Amino acid sequence: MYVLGISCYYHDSSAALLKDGVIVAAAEEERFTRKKHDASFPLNAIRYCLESQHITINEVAFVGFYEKPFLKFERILSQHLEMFPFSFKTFVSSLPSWINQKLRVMKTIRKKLQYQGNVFFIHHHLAHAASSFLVSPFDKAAVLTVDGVGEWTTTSYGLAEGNEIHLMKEIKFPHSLGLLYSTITGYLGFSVNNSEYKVMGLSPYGNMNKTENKYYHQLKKIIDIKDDGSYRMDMGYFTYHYGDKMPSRRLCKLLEGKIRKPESEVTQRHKDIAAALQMITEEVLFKMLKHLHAVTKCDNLIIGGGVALNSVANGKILRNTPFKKIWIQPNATDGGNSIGVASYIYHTILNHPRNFTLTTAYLGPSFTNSEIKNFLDSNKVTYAAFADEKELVSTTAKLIYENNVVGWFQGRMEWGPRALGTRSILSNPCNKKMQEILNQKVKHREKFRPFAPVVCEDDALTYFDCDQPIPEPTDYMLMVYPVKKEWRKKIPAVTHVDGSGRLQTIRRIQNPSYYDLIKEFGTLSGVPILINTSFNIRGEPIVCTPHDAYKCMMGTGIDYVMMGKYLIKREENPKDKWDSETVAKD
Amino acid sequence: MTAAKLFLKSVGKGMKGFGEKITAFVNTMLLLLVYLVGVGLTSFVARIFGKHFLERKTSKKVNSYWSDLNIKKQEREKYYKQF
Ligand SMILES: [Fe+2]
Repeated sequence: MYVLGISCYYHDSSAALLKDGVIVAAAEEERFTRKKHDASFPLNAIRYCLESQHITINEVAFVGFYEKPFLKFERILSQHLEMFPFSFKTFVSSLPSWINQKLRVMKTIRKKLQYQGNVFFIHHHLAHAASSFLVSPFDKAAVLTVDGVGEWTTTSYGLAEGNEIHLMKEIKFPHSLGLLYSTITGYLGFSVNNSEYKVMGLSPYGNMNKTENKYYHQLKKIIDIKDDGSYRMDMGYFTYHYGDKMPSRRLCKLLEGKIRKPESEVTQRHKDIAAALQMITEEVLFKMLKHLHAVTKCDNLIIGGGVALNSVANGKILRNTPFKKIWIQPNATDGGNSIGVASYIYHTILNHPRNFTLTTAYLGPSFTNSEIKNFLDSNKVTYAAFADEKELVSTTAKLIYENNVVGWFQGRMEWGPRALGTRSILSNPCNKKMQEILNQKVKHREKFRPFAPVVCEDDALTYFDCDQPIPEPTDYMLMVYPVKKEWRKKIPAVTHVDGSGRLQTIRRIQNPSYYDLIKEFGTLSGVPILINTSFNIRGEPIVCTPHDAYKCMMGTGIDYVMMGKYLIKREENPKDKWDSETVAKD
Repeated sequence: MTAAKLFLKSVGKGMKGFGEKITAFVNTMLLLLVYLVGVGLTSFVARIFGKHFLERKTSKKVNSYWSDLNIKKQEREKYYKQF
């Protein structure tokens, strides 16, 4: 039996397909349309899911949507009623999309998919909880969901067991830890709903001492945190409940300055504000989790929602709360909810026992060697072919060791916002200048952001101070841990200013060639760690197809791309024609 | 001939842009009417009776802001509903 889950119309729309309870395909729409965080109806992602199983929509037994649209609309109307007349501008800008699109999900599914079967709608935070718990290794777990906002809920907790989830308590809009984080992200001059992770990365540069950091005390004035972690915010400092700009004048005054202009200098004040925000986020999370443990008396923890991507906080949870085990799915934000609703339909509504644990994020499209060769030949690309995987691995390791920047395009695309070794750019972490080289050649990102390391799971404890046993979310770059002191100077390109690393652990069973490559690099360099960063041009989604990968290489300074069994060297190919997007097609 | 075609094309483009602007203006006026009459009046009456649509207040007196949610497995029919 096939069940299709859909998530769309806010940000990061996606589709996921379950076959008899097993997730067989999942992808975000942005990868196909090439529009970052694309929120449109995920027609391309659905098409991919169906084609991957060689089925049509007629063979799908149930379709699920990741939230209750009318309940969400009730909240939107309530905002306008409460905030009249200040909400006029957002009323005019948002109402048409509600009437024409968001309240017509059912019609859209019928029309665009030609689907006549049943459509289920589940609560947004239930979808977050289900998307993690129902594919987790736990039979029983305490659940916490924290995001910007769903229908009304912004934070919820409960207990899940077997194939059922009970969400007991909530914090309602407008009070939202996720929107607090987004507001400060906007204040610091970064894009909201996109660059929250940059603020997290900036925070260690600020003063992390609560007594000394004055912005910590300032921000504490706008959030009332109770002992059980529940919170409310002083909405006088915010405008998101009626306006389009998030930081208010009052907030600017509190933080002693205007909203930072994008690309302008990041000062110590900005860094201290980022640190203050991170400290408050962790304070709320740890208090909530202690309360949740006291209520549920369960040692296993599941987290869902956008705030679950705060890997700095995640890495501290087991050391600061009574929980003993933690699990988060690789796509814990709204995009991941398509998995949540599909799993909830199959396991909970239809009452099938759970039979699947998510152990890899490789759920997206893949391309065979003959498809890749076809693309390369038809676009007259100069390339070489490897005899076997051993040669692919040893050549790539050597190129990386020689400080080349290598695009690694192998197998099925990752599910979620992180590149995890199938659409990655890899390079040498031992080279002091590699951060600068990567930024110059490809990423053009802010100087304060270090790159992330990938290490084989069996080597991780040699180089990083991880929790033990190493939590599985580390496989998805969801846990930040300290780099062991003796290694910090040896892998400078992946060591943050506070000595931490946002590592990915990899097990051979998940991705044999990636694992072997890291080990091979270790043989050459003495350090079995690579820099792993996403394979994309700044501002674009991660590459999906051979066309995207080749275009990315030719538009940047990536030296080589390993595409399936083929090696492509940038210098051997003419750049000019790839300046035009119209030349090559898949 | 080509010049005439180009001229007609640019006139067509201009008309289209003008039409779009008119549509946007009419839509905004209609939405303004809905906003003033629908939202404004309801909001006005609600304020007279002290009704709030969002819980905005913080309180030093309460020990917790958690409120009951109680979402658990329901009958299948409930999941067909969009509310
Ligand atoms: Fe969400």
